[in-house]
Amino acid sequence: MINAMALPGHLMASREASGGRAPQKPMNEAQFEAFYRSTAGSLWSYIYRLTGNAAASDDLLQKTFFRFLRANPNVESDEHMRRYLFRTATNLAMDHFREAKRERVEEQAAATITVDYPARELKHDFQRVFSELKPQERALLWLAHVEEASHDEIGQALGVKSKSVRVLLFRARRRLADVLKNHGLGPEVVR
Amino acid sequence: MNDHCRYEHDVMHAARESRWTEVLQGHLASCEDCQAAAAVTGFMENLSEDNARVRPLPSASAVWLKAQLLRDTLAAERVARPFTVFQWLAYFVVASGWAGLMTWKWDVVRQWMLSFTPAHVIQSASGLTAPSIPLAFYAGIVVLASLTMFLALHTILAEE
Repeated sequence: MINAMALPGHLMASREASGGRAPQKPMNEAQFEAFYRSTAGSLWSYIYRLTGNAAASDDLLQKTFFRFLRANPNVESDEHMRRYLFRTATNLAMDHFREAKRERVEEQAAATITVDYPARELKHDFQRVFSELKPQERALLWLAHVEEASHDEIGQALGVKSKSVRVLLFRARRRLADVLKNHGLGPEVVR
Repeated sequence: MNDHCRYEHDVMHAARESRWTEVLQGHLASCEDCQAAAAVTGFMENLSEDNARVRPLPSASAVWLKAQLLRDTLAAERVARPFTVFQWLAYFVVASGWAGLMTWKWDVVRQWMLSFTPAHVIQSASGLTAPSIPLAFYAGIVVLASLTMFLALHTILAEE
C-alpha cells in the first residue's frame, strides 16, 4: 500500500543533505514534478473516494496543486506540504459538495427531478457502499486506513482538533460497519 | 498525551495481513476502538486496491504550466487593480461633474434647448434675444466634454 503521507524520497534526501535545516526557496519545476508524481495518485484516489466523480476529481486535483503552488511552498517543509495538500483537497471537496447541493436544490426547485450526485459516476460496488457515508466520514476513514495518517495529521487535514479525531473516527468506523452489515458485507465476508 | 489507542495501527496491520498475535487478540477483546478499526480494515483495503482511475492523471508539466499562467493572470490583475479603481473614480467624478453642471444652470440650459423650437427661432430673428449663458458654464462644458472623451478613448483602448 502506498503511504502518501510519508515523506517523498527526493525530499528526504534534500532534507538530510541540508542537515535538517530548511533553506527558504520556492519549489522549481523539477522538484514539483517529482513531488507531483509521488503524491498525485494517492491524492486523486482520496478526492475520488470523497466525491465519487472522476471528472470532478481531476478538476479538484489540479485546483489543489494550483493552490499549493500559489502558496509558494518551502521544499524542505515536508510536513507542511503534505498536510497542506490534503487539507486543501478536503476543503475543495467540501466546497464541491456544498456547490453540488445548492445546484441540486435549484434543480429540484425548477423541476421535480432528483439527482443523486455521488451515484452518478459510480461503477464500483465498493465505492457505492462507501458513498453511503458522509463526506467527512469518508475522509476520516480514507486518511486513517489508506494513508495511514496519524490522528494529528487527520485533524489538520479536516480542520478538527486531533482529540476529536478519535471519537469521529470511531463513529465513522461503526457507521461503515453498519453499512457493510446492511449490504451483507460483514468483516468476515470482506476479508 | 496519547489521544488514540497505541495498538490501533498494529490492529489495522494485523487485520490486513490476517496475522493476529495473542497480545493483539487479547487487546481486541477489550478495546472498542480497535474492534471498530478491525471490522472495517478489510473493506478499506479492498477499496484502496480497487483502482477507479480509467484515464491518466493530468501531467505534472501541464499542471505546472497552468499554475504559472494562473499566477501571472492573478499578478496582472493585482497590478491593474489600482488603475481599475482610478478608472471607476474618474467615471464617478465626470458623471458627478455633468450632473452638477446641469443642476447649477438647469434653467439656462432648459431655455437654451427651447431656443431651438421654431417659435423661439422667429423671436430671435425679430431681435428678442435669449438670456445669455455665463462663460464659466461654457468652460465647464468644454472641460467635462474633454474628460468624457479622454475616458471613453482610454476605456476603448484599454479593452483592445
